[in-house]
Amino acid sequence: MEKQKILIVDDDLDILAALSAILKNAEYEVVSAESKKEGLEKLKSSKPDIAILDVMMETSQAGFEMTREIRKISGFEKLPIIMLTSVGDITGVNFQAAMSDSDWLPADSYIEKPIEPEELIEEIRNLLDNKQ
Amino acid sequence: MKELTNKNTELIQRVNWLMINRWYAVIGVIIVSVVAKFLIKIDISLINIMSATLLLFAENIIGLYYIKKIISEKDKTKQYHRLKRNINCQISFDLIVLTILIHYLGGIESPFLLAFFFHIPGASILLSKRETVIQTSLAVLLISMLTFFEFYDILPHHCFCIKKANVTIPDLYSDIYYVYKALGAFIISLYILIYISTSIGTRLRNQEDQYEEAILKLNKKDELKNEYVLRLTHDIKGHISAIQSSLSVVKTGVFAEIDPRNQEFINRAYRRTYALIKFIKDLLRLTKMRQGDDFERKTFSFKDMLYECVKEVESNAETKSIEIISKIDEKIDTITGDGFSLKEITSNMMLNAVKYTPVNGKISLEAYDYVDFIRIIISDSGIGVPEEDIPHIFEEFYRGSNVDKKKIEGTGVGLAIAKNVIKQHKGDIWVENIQTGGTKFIYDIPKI
Repeated sequence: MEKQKILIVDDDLDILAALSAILKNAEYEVVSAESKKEGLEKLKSSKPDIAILDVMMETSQAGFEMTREIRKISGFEKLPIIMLTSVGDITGVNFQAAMSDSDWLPADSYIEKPIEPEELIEEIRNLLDNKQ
Repeated sequence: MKELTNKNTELIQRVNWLMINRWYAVIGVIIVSVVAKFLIKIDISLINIMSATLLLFAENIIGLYYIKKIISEKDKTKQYHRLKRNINCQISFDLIVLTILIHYLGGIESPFLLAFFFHIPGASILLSKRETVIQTSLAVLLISMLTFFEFYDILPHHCFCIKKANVTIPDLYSDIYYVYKALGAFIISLYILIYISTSIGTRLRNQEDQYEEAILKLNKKDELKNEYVLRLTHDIKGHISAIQSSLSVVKTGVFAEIDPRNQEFINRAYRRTYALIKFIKDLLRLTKMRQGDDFERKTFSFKDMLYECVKEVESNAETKSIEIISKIDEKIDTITGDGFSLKEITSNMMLNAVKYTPVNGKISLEAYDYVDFIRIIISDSGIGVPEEDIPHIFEEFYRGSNVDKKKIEGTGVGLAIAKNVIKQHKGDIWVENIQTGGTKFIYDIPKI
């Protein structure tokens, strides 16, 4: 069976490295990007099965914007998206409230940093199972 | 310069005070005149006095009607001018009624002329210096007119005296020397009085402005501090998160089995970064709360929330063989508030109870439905809170003096958050020691 592909986007290279290690160890193929722009390019070229996005990147809401842009690309309208959040994020929006508005934030779930490997893998499995 | 909104609220408060005093005046005049007429047998015309009092009564009713209209005015500048006009009209009308009453109570001979000496300084709180002088001059004009109209018999004179057969009544009002002396003394005294009262008033008002300005400055500084803490903790948290995420990769042995000797130190580092993250999270929550946001209001089932809290704490309690006794009133239904925060603080307080209760102990969660609010009582059989700590226990970073800080981890922020959340809901939170040992944390939360 072919490995499932995960796109991870975060401007913190250390987080990116940790994520990549955890996911590779769990037998996933990892594509990583450091910005929204790079993330969208890699999304189109590598066609991942799931995407994990940080909220605060080049701008405080770059991750939110990226979810909406992903949904506009044909073939990714239903791509599972996990947001990486942090309680201290100064995004200017109430995250819980934003999650309930699926037009504004079309993400499927979120995980709070720091990343707990088991929690992350379980969440990914759940979303991928639902997709199939 | 104070903001117009504040100024208006202040004026509205003061005009309400004026109108409340007017009700007292109405009652006072009625009682005094009845007593004077029937007990002291002073010869006064009750009907006339009552009619004048009725005018005061009507003034207050009309005043209330207009104030209500003014309060709903959106344009603050317009509201200010309308308030000012209303206040001036009320005071001028008071002076006219007072003059009518004085007329029926003896005119220039009346001892009740003194009434002007408390009405005008009282009213000057509501007026500018110029307006006070104008109102005082109106009072002087009214009394002078009254006196001379009585003197020249344009108006009848009402005597404020006890009529007895063999006592001649001195008609002072028609004695030109008395009229000049009395009127002169009245006018001079009144102007001196308002000069003194307005100077004191101005000074007090200036002081008040200074205090308000100081408070405003302090609040602004506090806001800056909150901003600063938010920025700082956010930046720190970014680094710690990266450290923690990297550590968790090593800790779980992703790439290779770890020597147990190394594992121990990785675990130690992991525990400390975990504690630090918890602290930063709490600090962020608290700071955000102090900024006034981070508070949402939704209707949710409070009972379900309590059951969820119990469930969340169960595993922690089990590891210490602690029994959780829950007594939740079945009547408890929905409330409106920030469900997320309320759940967080309630389960936090229960976790605290577990933390401070020795192995094999008991903790309990009780919930009672009162008509307007719900009371939550979380008790433990732990070490209790020393009396001297009770007033400080909800302060930020405060930890009980009897807590072994090396053994029992805590940030000292949890209860401060709880207090803030309860305060935002206009509820109440406090702590009590149980006689037989242990502590009760109690909070009341309004249903709406």
